Amino acid sequence: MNILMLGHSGVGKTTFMASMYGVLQEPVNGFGLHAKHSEDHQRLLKLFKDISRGRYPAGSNKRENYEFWLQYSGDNFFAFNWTDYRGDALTESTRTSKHAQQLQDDLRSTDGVLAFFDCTQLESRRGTFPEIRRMLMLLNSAMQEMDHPVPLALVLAKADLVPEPDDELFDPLENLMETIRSSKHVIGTVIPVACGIENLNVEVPVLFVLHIGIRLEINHLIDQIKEMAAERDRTYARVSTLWDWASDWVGSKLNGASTWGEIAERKHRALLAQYEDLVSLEGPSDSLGSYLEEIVKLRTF
Amino acid sequence: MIDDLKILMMGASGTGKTCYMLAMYAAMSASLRGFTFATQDLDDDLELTDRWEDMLLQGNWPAPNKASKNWAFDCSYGFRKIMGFRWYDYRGGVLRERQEVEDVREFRQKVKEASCVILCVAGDELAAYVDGGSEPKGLRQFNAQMNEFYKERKDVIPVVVAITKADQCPAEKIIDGIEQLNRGLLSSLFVEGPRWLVMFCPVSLGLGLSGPENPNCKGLIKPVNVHIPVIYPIYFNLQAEIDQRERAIAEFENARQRSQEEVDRLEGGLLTSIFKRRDIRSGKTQIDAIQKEMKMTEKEAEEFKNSLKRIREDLMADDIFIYHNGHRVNLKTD
Repeated sequence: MNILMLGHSGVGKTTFMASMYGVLQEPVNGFGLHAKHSEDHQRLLKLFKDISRGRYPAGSNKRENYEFWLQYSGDNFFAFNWTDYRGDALTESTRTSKHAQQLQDDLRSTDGVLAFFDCTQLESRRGTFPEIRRMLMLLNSAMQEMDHPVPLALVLAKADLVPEPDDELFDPLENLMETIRSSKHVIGTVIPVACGIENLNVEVPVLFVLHIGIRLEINHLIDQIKEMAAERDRTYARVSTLWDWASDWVGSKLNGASTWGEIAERKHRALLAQYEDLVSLEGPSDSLGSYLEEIVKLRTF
Repeated sequence: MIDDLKILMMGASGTGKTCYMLAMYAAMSASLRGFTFATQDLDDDLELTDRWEDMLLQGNWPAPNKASKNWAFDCSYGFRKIMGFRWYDYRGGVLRERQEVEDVREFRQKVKEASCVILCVAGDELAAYVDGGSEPKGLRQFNAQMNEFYKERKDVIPVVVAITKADQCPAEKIIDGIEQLNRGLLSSLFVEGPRWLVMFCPVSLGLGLSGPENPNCKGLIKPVNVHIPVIYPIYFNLQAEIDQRERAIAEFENARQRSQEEVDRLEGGLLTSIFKRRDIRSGKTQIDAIQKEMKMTEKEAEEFKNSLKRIREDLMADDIFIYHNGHRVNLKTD
């Protein structure tokens, strides 16, 4: 699964990412996070330590890619890639910026998006929000060809700096939310987060996106299993009469090839292995679903 | 997928064509009730937005178009493209210049290919016309172009008369102005027979703007109705697509009935039911295929109907005047 973080410069993507990683070192409802590469692990933990002391990192100046494991009960359980962009790439022309081109390409192949908005800007600024409109443009372009459901978390960063948020805070996002509501394949949610000495909801956006990704993987496995079962049954059916079975057995043995019965058996074993994969995903997925449901501020639409 | 619409914007110099286009794009690209307009090339989006922000935040009016420019947009609903459209923005001069000039020739060709025309008429000029002053610029040339169009295509297309700078024309003068144009300068669009579809829509970038002569419009821009002229051709195009699909559904139903009758006939006879098994099977497969296609077409028609319902309301506002075949249309009842 590929997850992409989208947001303008200064919105706090890098801070969020390190905080998310740090917080998920302690299991949350059984779920944890582990970087596949030790240098990423060390770097993110160092950043998290600094953030916990109130020292915030500088923004990213290039595209960064991370490979993670979502862990469940301490075991590696679901692999995913995470891409972080330099914020300026959003408003650069593909004619002059290779980052802008890469961002648009990555967006088209993403399986989940975290779109970041600065709560303090949403609250203090009135009028137009060109960055929200541009983000809508990029999402609109990328989502056109997608043939699978895409989770999209609208992350309201720096929520702690707006102590008493009211409904007007969401006004600049209303058009984007309405487009998501109108969509048949984008599943959206709004999650206020805060990072620093006190953290708020930092683990929720990634778990939301992963939950949808895991459910999709489960549905994909179910389809595959159905297809494999049909293929197995068709193979068995080739030798359903005693005559067919006998002639296949003799012919195969003479040619040193597998009988249809043996081929069907192999298909059946592959199906069982696939079924085990499915079962291993279902329990944690249900647990993740119930955990997300309990989060009061989660607004899914 | 629906074919791309070709929208041609006409109007004399200074009628606010470019300002209107920038405002329309700013409004529609920010999404409206789930509909989003986006440039097909995302770099064009940056260019249009820069120009719009230059007006909005710096107060700079765009310079008059020296050259003509074409834009390619997509109209999406809920992140799914409904239709694309080409937008042809020509400098005002092409209306009155001779066709020796290259872009004049190109413009005239585009008129013949257009699927909708948006004519910009300046509100201040319309108000002066109602008061007995000279006629708004560009109307005669527009008339000539539409006559040529009709002669060539023997068909009609939706026409939008966007009354730009509408803040400079009081509402009652807009009504009087439309009456006068209806009877006079634009009367060829209101005769019964050809079935022209014409919409008058006042649009404005905000109150108290006196146009390009105002050196700075910073903080004054609050667009009104700018999305309506472009919604209008989409509405009628969607309606045409729905009609086409409903005709297709009726044809599918006829074909399904014919195949069913044939299968029933073969199954009903003692000999045919035994010796024509292959024909019966192929008939049933055909019925399944027709039903599948019919369902897909029904689904498409349903989606278009839902989209249509959502934009219909905007076209029912009291200050929007739609005429079909010379008669005022009320979308609430018609």
